[in-house]
Amino acid sequence: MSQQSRRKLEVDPILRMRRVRKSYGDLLVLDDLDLEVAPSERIALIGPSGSGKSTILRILMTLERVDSGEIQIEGESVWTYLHKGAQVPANEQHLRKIRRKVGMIFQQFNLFPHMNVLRNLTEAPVRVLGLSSEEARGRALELLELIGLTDKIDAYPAQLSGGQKQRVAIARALAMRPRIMLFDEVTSALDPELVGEVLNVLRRLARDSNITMLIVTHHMRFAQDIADRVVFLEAGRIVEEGLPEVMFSRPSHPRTREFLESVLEQ
Amino acid sequence: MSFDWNLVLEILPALLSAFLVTVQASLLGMAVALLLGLVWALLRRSGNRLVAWSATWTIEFIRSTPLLVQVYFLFYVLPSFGLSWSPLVTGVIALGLHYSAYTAEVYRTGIDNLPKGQWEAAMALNLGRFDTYRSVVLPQAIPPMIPALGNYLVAIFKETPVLAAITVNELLQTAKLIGADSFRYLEPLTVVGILFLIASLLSARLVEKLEARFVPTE
Repeated sequence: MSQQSRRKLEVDPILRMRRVRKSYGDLLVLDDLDLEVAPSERIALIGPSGSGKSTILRILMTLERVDSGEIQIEGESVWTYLHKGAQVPANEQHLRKIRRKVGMIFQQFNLFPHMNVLRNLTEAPVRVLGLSSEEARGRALELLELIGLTDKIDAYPAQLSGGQKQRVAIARALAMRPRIMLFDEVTSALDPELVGEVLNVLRRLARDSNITMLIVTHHMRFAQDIADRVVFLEAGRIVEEGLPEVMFSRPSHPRTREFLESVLEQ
Repeated sequence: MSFDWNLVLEILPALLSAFLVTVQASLLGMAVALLLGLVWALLRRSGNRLVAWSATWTIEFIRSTPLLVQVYFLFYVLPSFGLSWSPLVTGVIALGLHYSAYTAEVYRTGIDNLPKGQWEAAMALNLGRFDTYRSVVLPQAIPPMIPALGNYLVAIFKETPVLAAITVNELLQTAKLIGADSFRYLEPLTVVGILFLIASLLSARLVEKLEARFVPTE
């Protein structure tokens, strides 16, 4: 495992955040954050609420702008682009090119309630990627098989359980074939007995694909299973990061130890 | 002065065909208001400050000036700039323009009420601005607005007599002409009142039905 992680970091990072700063009013959420992620790496972001974990994902999805700092995805700057020999602020066209590489799953699923499952899965591939409706349907069927919901193809979100909704949301993001997937507390809105089915889909995805995954989670066991690297954040800074075995058994920073003790007690 | 039922029967066909003109002006005016209101609402949400600001002030201007003044302006002033339409077309445009300022507000509220997560999901799926509105935002935002929009249709309908000022042969204008011919205003105006009453009651029922159908009870 450690060898694998080291090898991954030798290649060019798929994602690079440098001195990223973000605040909401007076509240500093990310404090000169640096983070590099290798292709196919699985990162678990852990930390107390308000530590900036979700903000990292929202920034990478371009749902939020940064105050300062640099973000690169596959070597390309997100918020600026080269225009006539100079770096200028990103326009919508450039941002859409960047967004093609990234997908995101939300805590509240955010399925489109007025569309059935099939259309939730095909709308963006047809409109954005220009797939024919047959191609998009084929892709949707494969994904429904992956998440085990083939029989729900005609159902509307309101007819699904929370766990099923979240699995459909994962399939919907996958239908766009992103290079990087961002999972923002994807089980936090679920009843405890529905968490397992969603985590299993993530485990399968981690096993069978080479998508780069950034996962914000409160499930430490799951983080330990799935992650190549665990990043512990507090107050908008990375306090400690490392291999899951090391982070969970012998964290070196006292704050990491305190945090892990408090969550593992629950 | 007694109420002359024979006169009522005599003038009823003319008033009924005028009633059709009224209905026609209302529906066409509403169609214009629906389209134009959406345009204002979308312009107000434009990323370009100048565009958004202009739309806001256009709406404010339209709302703050009387419909009758707008009708006169379109009918008597625009032709001197080479723009002239028939009275009915002018009336439809005036009603539509005036009420677009109100429907714009309905659209705005409806669009604002859509949960933020829907916009974020659309962005995460890389849908463009147009696709986001067409596929995600409007199909969800419009159904709850239908009763409010229906109320504006009723309001437009009741405002159509304003068009009498520019010689559209709607109900009131026709009743006035009958009155001028027969020297009797009681019967034609009574019939006009009753026709408006019936139509208003019917459309109020319709709006109630729409409300039951489209507004979720919580």
